[in-house]
Amino acid sequence: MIRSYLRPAAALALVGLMASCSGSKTESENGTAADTLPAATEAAVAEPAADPAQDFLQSLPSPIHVARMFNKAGLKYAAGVTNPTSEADKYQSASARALNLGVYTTDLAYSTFNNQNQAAVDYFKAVQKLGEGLNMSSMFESTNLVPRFEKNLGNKDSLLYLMSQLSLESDMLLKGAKRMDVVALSFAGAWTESCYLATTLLAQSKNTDLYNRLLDQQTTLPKLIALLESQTGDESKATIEGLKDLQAKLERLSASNAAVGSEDFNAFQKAINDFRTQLVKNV
Amino acid sequence: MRTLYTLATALMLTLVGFTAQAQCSDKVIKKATKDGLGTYIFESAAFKPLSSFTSSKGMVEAAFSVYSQESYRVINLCQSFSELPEFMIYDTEGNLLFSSSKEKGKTNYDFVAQKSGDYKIQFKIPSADAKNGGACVAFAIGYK
Repeated sequence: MIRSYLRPAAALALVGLMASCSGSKTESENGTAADTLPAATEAAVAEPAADPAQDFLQSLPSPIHVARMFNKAGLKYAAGVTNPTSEADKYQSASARALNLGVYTTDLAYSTFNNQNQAAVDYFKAVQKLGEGLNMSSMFESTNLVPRFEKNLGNKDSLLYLMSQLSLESDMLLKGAKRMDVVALSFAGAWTESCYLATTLLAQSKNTDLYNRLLDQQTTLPKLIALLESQTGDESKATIEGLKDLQAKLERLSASNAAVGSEDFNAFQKAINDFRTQLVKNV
Repeated sequence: MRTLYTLATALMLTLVGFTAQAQCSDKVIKKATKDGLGTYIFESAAFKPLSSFTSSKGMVEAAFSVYSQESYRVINLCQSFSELPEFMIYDTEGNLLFSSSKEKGKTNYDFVAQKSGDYKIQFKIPSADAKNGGACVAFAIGYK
């Protein structure tokens, strides 16, 4: 009699333990280095101490905000510079999808702020396609974002609100699921596309405000690189190396305050073009 | 009696498991972010269980990037503390811009960034929560 009660009780206890341990395991496998720090509570599982530099919270800016600042600084629309939406189907690996999710998010904002309505809708759909490929379907199903975006074409305030909703939903979904690898890679894609668009347009027409906003982008690079380095996957290595090279060139450009067309500017432009080409061709 | 004891133990172990997972709920933080943003547009959010910080010594730090002449709102979204942790905000030069200790109960701070760079937030963890395994340190940023 007692034995028959003990079996479900033991099973229940096992479920409880598994729930506790699986939470820790998920964090250590997919989270940042800080996620794997030993916990202060008695219930926590002890793990090796991590880098104390990671023992804080940090946030990266929204790619939509960055695109809006570039737009306010005078980043005009140029046909044919963004990554075509027809490419969306070819991204099959998780890292290519995450990187190009960021690229398309920037292209979506760039098209929207420049009143390219059909392009904006197409980019929103490309973002959805890559998001679904990264198991983020629930976010689009629950919010109905794409039809709402199409319905509000022409109303810039509504479109900005809907893009910020997209940003909020994806940020919460990914961080809640401890998928910081996707957060980091998609931000890397967005950062690269923003700088690529700005340098391409700057090379065509000089604009001091836009140039200063481009130099501002060095602020986020150390945090982005640190976040990528805290991931365990090999797929981030090439991205980290490319971003470190860009960081060095952008810092040199900022320190020299060299003009558009100078040797330092051209070096950065070539580096961002090459890196972006590699990124959008990555499948 | 022994069966009851076993069942109670099993229930406790189950609850420990669920509590460990429920420290930071993205759904709760999402709702609090939407409520706190007001007229600001969502920029980003960050959250992590208090128990994952090792060297806090009563303080937890956070960093976020700002761009010059942009308007921001910082929202303190800390969850499941005995009382909302006080928070301080420092600019790119390390100057204290805001301390909620002077404005008890205030959860937001609005400002215009003078320079592009990194701002720092410090959360002062209430001593009663030093070993609070269910607490979540969280904040969100909005822009205009």
